[in-house]
Amino acid sequence: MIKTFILIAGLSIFHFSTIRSVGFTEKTAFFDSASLFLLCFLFVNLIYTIQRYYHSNIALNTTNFSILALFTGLTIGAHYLISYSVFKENAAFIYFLNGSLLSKSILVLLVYLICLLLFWIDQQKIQERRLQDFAIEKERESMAIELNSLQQQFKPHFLFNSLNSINALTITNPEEARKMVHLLSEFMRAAVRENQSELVELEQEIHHIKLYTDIEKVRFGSRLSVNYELDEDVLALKLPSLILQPIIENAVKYGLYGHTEDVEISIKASKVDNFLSVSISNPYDKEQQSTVQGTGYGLQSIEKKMLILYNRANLLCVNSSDKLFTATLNIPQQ
Amino acid sequence: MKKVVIIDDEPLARSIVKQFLKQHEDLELIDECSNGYEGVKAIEKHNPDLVFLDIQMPKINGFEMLEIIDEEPSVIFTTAFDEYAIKAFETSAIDYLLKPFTQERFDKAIEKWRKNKAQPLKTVLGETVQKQLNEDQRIVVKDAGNIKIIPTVDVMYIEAYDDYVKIHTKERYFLKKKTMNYYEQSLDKANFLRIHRSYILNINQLTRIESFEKNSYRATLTNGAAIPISRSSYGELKAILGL
Repeated sequence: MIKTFILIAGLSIFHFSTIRSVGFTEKTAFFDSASLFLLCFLFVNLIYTIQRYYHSNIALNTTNFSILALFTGLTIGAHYLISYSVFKENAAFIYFLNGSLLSKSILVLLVYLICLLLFWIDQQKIQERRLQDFAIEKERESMAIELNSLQQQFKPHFLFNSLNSINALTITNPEEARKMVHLLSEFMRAAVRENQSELVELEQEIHHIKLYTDIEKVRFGSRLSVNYELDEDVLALKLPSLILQPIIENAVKYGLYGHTEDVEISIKASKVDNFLSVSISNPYDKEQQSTVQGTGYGLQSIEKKMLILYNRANLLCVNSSDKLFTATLNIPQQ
Repeated sequence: MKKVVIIDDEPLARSIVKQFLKQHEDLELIDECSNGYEGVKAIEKHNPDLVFLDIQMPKINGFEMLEIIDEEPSVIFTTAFDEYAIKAFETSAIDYLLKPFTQERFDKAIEKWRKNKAQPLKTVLGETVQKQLNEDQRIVVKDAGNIKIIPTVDVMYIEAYDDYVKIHTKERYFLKKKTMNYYEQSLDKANFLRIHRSYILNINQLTRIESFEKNSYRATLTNGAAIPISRSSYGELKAILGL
């Protein structure tokens, strides 16, 4: 803004000295220059305001050039009218005024052009910085999600407790211990292998969930049961790999640690319009549970991941009635 | 024979302890429990010499369970992973078994227990439970033989009562053998303020402050109860409320 101010002031001083050198009085020169200065200042501000809301890809496109031409015309027109009405009786000055119109127009147009370029460069820089910030933010988010999902797969609590169960089984039931080692390694292998944003078929995701719940069933015995209701036509539908894992872990955790009784978790999948809709529910005791289910880090990470992958919010809905907590994930299909 | 109780919500985790116990002929397993509720009952019934206790369990965890038992038994903790707990144990004389553990490690823990049975568990656990309380935002109390979990949001105020504190909720109060200082330290400072030597207030339950006699104030709560505010904490309360 200071640069443009100096530029206009320079123009006015040049104008002032030109009029003086021709031989008009100081007062006349000052008034004429001042009116030109104020008008230029007004229109430069207008250009600036327009640039803030309208930023073109190239600085001098037709729109910007039309604006400059229009504003130059308006400036010179207004300037002529003011000076003419003030110095009507001064024939010599009017003659000078008429003669100087063309050169004045060119000068004013030049000043406006420079101002526009300065604004445009400023705006371009801001825009670039904004884009850069956005890209960095996005990158950081996807990195956090990847890290987070890795941590989710390797919950130490889950891993060490499973190993402890195997430890016990090697004494009492070696056959079962072998089975558990197999389950755990297959589960872990999938967790390290998967590309986190890859789309997989529901059948594969369900297989992974089954591995997890089978391990948990060995740990918790008859307390845990899992019940599937899957429509025939949904198994081949696609969803981001391992996206359901935090929901099922959440359901197991709140189910088993919120109750002392047996716990049944149900998993339902169906096709609704153009979405694959998967619901996972667990028993939930609103009265007894002090921490509210559904606010956890796991579920939040799913929402973020869905937002990044599908660019849509509200694909995850949670609903808690008095006895049941249900999380439903709607996955858009192509 | 020494009496042993195992408390763990995973049957296989209990079974490994049971297996390893077979090597110690003077130790007799008298009860197995799969949660803290059963644990409290078993400990009060059998008065065991040694308890193997898991930390993460349904509804109330191992620490919370110990808090509501009057006469604490000797405990060896068994846990898979618990950052707070492990930190607390490492600085104390109490032993703990990290799952999965071997027979040798198990025997060592038993040896350690035989050598120094009477350990003041409460002081060591104080800090751990305090951190747990911060995380879970709840207080576990025993009420006429039942165990009750009070979310801290439901607490109206806490009142000093000899060696106990009264934890007042909307309808009634519960007694707990703790100090005012303990709760002043452990409750969330954004919601709780000690407004008097004998009172800690849940700021969210406050409806009115009125002057009461000369130079003294009284807080009225959402359930109509009124508690005194000391002159020194009146300023602090006003600052928190932005008056």
